[in-house]
Amino acid sequence: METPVTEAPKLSHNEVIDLTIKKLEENNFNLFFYAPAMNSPSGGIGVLLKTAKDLSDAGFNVKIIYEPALDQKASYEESVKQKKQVEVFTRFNPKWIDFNIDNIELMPLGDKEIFFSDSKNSKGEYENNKTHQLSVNPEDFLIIPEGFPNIMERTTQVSCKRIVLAQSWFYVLLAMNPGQKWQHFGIQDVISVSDAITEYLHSAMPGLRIKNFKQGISRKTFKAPKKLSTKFPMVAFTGSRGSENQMKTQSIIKNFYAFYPHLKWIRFVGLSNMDKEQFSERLASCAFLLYTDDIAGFGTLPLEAMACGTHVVGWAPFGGKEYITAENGYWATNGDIFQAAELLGVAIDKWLAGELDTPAVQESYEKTLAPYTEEGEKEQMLNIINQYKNERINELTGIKTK
Amino acid sequence: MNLQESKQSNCLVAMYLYEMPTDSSVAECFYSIAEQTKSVDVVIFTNGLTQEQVSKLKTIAESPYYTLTKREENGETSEEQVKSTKVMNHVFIESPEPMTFAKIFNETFNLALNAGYETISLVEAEDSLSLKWFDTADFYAKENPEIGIFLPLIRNSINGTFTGLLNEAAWAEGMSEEAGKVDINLLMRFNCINPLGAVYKVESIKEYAETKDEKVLPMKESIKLSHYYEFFLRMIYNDLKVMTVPRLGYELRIVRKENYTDSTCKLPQDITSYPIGRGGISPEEGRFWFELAKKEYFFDEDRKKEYEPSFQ
Repeated sequence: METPVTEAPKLSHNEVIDLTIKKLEENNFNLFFYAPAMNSPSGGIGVLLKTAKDLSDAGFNVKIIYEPALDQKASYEESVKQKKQVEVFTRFNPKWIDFNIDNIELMPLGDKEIFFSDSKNSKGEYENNKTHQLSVNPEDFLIIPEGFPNIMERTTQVSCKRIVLAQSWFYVLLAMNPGQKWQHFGIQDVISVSDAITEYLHSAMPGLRIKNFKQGISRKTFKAPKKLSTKFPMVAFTGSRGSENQMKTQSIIKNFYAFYPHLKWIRFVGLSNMDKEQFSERLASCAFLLYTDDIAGFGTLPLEAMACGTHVVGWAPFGGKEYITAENGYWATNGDIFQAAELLGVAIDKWLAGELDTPAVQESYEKTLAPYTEEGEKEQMLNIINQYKNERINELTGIKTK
Repeated sequence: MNLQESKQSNCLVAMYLYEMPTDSSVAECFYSIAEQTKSVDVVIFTNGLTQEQVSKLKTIAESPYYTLTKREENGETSEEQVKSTKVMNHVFIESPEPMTFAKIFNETFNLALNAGYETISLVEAEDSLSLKWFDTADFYAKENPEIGIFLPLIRNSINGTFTGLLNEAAWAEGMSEEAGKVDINLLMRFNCINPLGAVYKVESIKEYAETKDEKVLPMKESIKLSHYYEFFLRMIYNDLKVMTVPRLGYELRIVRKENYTDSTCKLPQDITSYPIGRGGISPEEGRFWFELAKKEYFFDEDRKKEYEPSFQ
């Protein structure tokens, strides 16, 4: 006699939709963030992780997914040791961020167990680590940074809602084929971090549904030094956009010294290779920031400088158009080395003459900073996710059979 | 003389006039003192001037001004006097004998000490101050109570041509151990300080100055040319902190003069080509005084060393 098999009752189309809607209404869904597995400081990844953290803190089920990068050195050494091809990967572990994401699951994607370079046992042997296949439900959301059309393409068939988080205009088309649009990957929804990106996307990919989101500047981290006399006649600079950008930044500095020989004692200090706390302290100790990011999607650095009472001189990138004014910095035409060098001298001469020590200058900075608060940032992101949730509910309700 | 009765501020600024400057230059200097956002008192030492000249100076001091040169629409220039809206609290003191820079410093120091001033500063008649300088120095003093002397950045011009800034070395990369603070290693490398416009804390300096006949003598009057260099070396060696405030505080104007006297700290670059009778000095003697400063700063008292020329 055969044992009777009890099957789960098969749900109808409408019942599946009702269940999905119920899960959405109860916030019982996952918010997946795709993150490039970079363990060195990156403004873009920082914003993405901060957004993930804010949503996690608000009670959402947030998960960060990433593709582990091959550790070439460790792989080579292990292959030599084992006399066969062995692949060792780097675990995504962004220690450089200044907030805690311990309560968010970081999920390495893959279809088999892998070795991570930080997972050796007491015998010095690598231990196997689980990877995950991306498994999503219709009520879930997948958030993809703008520079990863490959991820958009590979997830075309997934059942969840996919949203692009656009933090740059520069990388949007770089990895795409001519004529390709995000819509071709089935993506309609975008969260944009600046007016400039929104404007750009409306031109480059008309028809996208874009929600705007304003980043917040941490006034706890970025603040003027307690003693104004500890603000030194120094100029902070980054040159973080690769070697060509570094050369251009150096060119501005050299031209500045050539144009203003009486200011040859002014020091320039780099802002690279430091954690957020060191970064903000260094920035606050400088009287000026030389800003040379010509492809910024938004540009938080000038705002962070203003919060520190550090005067901004440099290029006015397209991304910063919503906050750049004649009152809040010495802005040169984007990419103009000579003008930036000249303006730097003008600004320093004014500072030395005490003309920038007026309350009006700091007031103009505060006016600029007013829309970019951390509280506002959290609130806006929560509103955006709730809007997506409601839109998804409406969308699902619409496809119920009558 | 005691300035207690006329004292209206905590800072005493001194200047010495031994020849009649042009009306416009001294008027501008007075204007820049009168218009300070933090008011100061002024003592003007004179020597060798006629009654008429002193009287004229007093008139200017009562109503300082600066001369604004305007270009009219027809291309011609016109001048307008802009008078100070504030009163410069000042006292004239006739010195019985010519004063050296070191003596001016010491006299001012003792006047300040006796009248209860907290700080002193020295200016020269052709120069001018930034209108916020004493306010800025006071702000830095409040935030940095450990500092004894606050130097301004000085805008230097020679015969009307801007040549660069002075007192900036302490801020340059790799020059001093602590950015902005002048240390002994930096000062031993070269004389990178100009004493004009600086704000000196009276009590801090008193500690490392010689007292003789009830007078405190911070600057050694026997040393020619390098008296203020020796003074700064001694103060810093004794751990008095000296910093350059990174703000323009003083405009120093070097004007070619027929004679050089030790009453100014503006040492002409070509002093060795001046005839001896007009204040010139041999290269050998010049070296002697600067080398002497580097040896004498160990001693608080003035050992009255003299230059003995070697005849070859």
